[in-house]
Amino acid sequence: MTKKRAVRKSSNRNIYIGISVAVIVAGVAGAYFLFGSLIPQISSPQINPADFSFPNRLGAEDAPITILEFGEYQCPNCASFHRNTKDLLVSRYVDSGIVKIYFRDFAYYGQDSTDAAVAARCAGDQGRYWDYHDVLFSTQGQINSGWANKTQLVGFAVAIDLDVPTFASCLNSGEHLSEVESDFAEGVRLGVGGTPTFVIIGPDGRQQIIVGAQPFSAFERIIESLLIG
Amino acid sequence: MVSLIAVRLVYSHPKYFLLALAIAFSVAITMFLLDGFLFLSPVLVFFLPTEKLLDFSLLVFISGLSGLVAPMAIYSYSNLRSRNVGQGTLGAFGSLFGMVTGVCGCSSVGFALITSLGAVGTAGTAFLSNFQLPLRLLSISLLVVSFIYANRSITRECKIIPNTLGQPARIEIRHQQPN
Repeated sequence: MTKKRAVRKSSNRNIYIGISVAVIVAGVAGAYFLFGSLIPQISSPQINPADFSFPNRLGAEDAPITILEFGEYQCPNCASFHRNTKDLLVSRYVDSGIVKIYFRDFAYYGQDSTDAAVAARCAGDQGRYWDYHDVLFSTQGQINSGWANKTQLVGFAVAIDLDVPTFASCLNSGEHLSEVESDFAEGVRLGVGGTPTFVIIGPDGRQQIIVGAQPFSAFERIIESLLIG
Repeated sequence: MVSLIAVRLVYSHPKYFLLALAIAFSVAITMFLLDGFLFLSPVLVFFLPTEKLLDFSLLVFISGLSGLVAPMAIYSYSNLRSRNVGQGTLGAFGSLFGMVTGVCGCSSVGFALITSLGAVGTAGTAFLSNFQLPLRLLSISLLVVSFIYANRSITRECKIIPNTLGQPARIEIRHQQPN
């Protein structure tokens, strides 16, 4: 009798374990499919590196690996990438001539985001695109809280010693607005579904995608695999 | 003062214990994915920057509380006379709140919401991003309140028979509805 009860108990326990495993698998699979259905997937970016004519490049022109970063200056995840991964990526791969990075504006949070993107390009006109880019990410505030309004953007230009009248005139004229809009349109065309999204292009044109503020190890693995060919 | 007798009563059943683990694990995985601690592609990678240690701790806490509260609510609903749906709903809201706070506007899910809902989506995801910490604390508060309710209702409905000489403590449900 006791033996029968023990067998039944053990069998019940197995059923419970089975149910729990099923719930866990269903939870993870559910989350995965939720993501899969909500997020536009970049399957084949169809980017030809030879088409690039972007003036603001970080790294050597002949670097074999190209990284396109679709980013937004008000996005916390982009700032997180900037703080935690970018420096290591630059010191390991950009400074050694293996990687070049282009920042493509995927500004979708409204006017402040668009103005910040235009402002960075205006700084680029004075050869200080990346300095201004770094200032924007390192001083990022809450979304649409006014930290990136035009007054603040001019203040950042003062802080890094730009020619302020020229900068302000460029910012107010919206000189680079069409470029910013064109970057966004290209991102949409490619299926960018959030920021930051990275398209990493190898020397043979093979392309890999990284979505989110992923750690350096993820970039390292992709870059090394593209270099091996 | 919250007595832990109800916790011991519920979790003495292996099925509730395993259910708690399953719920905590599922909630944690979902929140880690939404909040950018866990990435599935191109390689499976977990990333915890030091600046996000507090966020991570809160998520772990929310997952643990969700796992703790949900089986207690289920137990009290299925075994006890006073079927208090409110406490389960409160707990579910707490867990959901915790998960939703990970939908930062710039995450893929956030962007999908923005493109689907337009200005409302932008404002909503900006709000979730800007007020992530207080919303998570609110989520924890809801879960704690739900835990206290579940605990109280189970304790009230059960007769706790204390230790007597040579006899272990026993717990009896006050009515005849064992499941």
